[in-house]
Amino acid sequence: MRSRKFGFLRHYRKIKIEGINLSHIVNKCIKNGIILKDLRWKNPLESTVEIQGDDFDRLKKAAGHSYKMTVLKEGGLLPLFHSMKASLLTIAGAFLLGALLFYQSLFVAEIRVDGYKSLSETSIRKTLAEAGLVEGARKEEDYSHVKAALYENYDEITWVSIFADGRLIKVHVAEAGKQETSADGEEKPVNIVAARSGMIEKILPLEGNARVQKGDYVNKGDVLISGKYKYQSTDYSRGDDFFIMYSHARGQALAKVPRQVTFYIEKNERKKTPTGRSVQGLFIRFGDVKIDTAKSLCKYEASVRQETALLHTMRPLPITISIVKIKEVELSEAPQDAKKIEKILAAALRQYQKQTLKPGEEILSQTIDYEESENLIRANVFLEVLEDIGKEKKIKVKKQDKNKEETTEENTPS
Amino acid sequence: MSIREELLFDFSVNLPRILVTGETTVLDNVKKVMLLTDGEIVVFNGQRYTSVKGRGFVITQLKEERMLVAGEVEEIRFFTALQEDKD
Repeated sequence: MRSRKFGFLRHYRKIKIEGINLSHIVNKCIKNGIILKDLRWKNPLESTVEIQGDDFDRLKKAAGHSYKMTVLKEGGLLPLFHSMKASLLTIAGAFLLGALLFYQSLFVAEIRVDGYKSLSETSIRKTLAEAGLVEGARKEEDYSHVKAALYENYDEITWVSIFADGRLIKVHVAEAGKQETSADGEEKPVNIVAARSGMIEKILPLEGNARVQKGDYVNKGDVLISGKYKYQSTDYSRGDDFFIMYSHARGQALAKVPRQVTFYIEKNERKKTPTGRSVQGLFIRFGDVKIDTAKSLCKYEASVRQETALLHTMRPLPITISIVKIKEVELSEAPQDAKKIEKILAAALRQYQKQTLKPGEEILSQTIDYEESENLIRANVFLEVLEDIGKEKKIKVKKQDKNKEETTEENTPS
Repeated sequence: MSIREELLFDFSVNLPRILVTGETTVLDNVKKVMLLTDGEIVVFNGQRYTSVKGRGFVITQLKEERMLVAGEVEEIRFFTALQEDKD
């Protein structure tokens, strides 16, 4: 009898035997050394059995024409390898798909920001992008640097949580409410004093007494709205003495204030003149891998790059394909004309107004002096700004007799 | 068991030897299968016959004169052929 290691593991056949007297064929198998497995008697005419793949021909020969044999199933490693060989393309595809699924899981597909109130989502997203957290970027284990960037950029943010849920990054921020910051100060007795010198244009006391009126010139530190009241008691138990009451003064004090701002503008304008020569290529970004064919061909000293996106996807994988055109340019400098300088200065002033002035404040008039140096034009701008000059100043209250007025550090406008 | 019995047990290749544990039966010295159904198996051991009756028999393996049977065993009988049958 032949000895075959792992015979059934290697290859086996499940056979249906049809014919009378099953024991006859079983005896033939015993005689020929054919190993039988899982022999099931179904009815006097039909049975099933498993034999090793190599034994099938011997069994058929032994059975002769008395039995009909049908292979129901083939199993073992050999048929498995044969079927795998036949479907090699399918296996390769499945492997590639698996690899793609794994690779795409390494990148951020979506960022969800919530919890913000006064801040805009756009600005938060911009900060996240600057810190490297953007759709299509590689996922990281630790986002503490992104958190640090958020805390650094926004004072309002008191707490940040960043966690990854698969390919989705959830950013949750918590801002300090206005009530939290101002709750303590509401009860304190304060005056509204001038933060800087200026000519009062409008005074609007919401709480407290106005100490100045339109047209008054005030110096820095002068009381504009007082939080101190003097009143005569009508309470018989206290008598009709004069008493002082303190409150938290509130209101708006708009004054004409002079300001001086200096802007620097480049004297010459850089011009890029195309020479007519250009290089075209393809830019492909697949995850972290970047291929730029035009960059390797470009040997120009100065050039302008143009990209036309053909494909830009984040899911299932961050893939970007664009056509790149690098044009050679010649750099030259020419003095800027006066109109353009005025335009630049007007834009700079608008930006200044946007950044420094509060709602209700405005620039009333402006005078500009230009000074020219070798490469720069210095613009000294004198502004007359209508601005709220009021700021809170705590009243120092001294405990004393009810009949005596307490002393506070107060200046009144001259 | 004495040495004689041990030797007899191990080397008597023409006598019935059967081991039944739960629903597994091991029949040794199977020279020939006389009857095979899902309710009865009769095998010839060289000198005697062994008959196993029960329910749901499946021969899990038949190899080198050893038959492994799965199924519920109800009855085991050993017998010899009658002289007139031998003739």
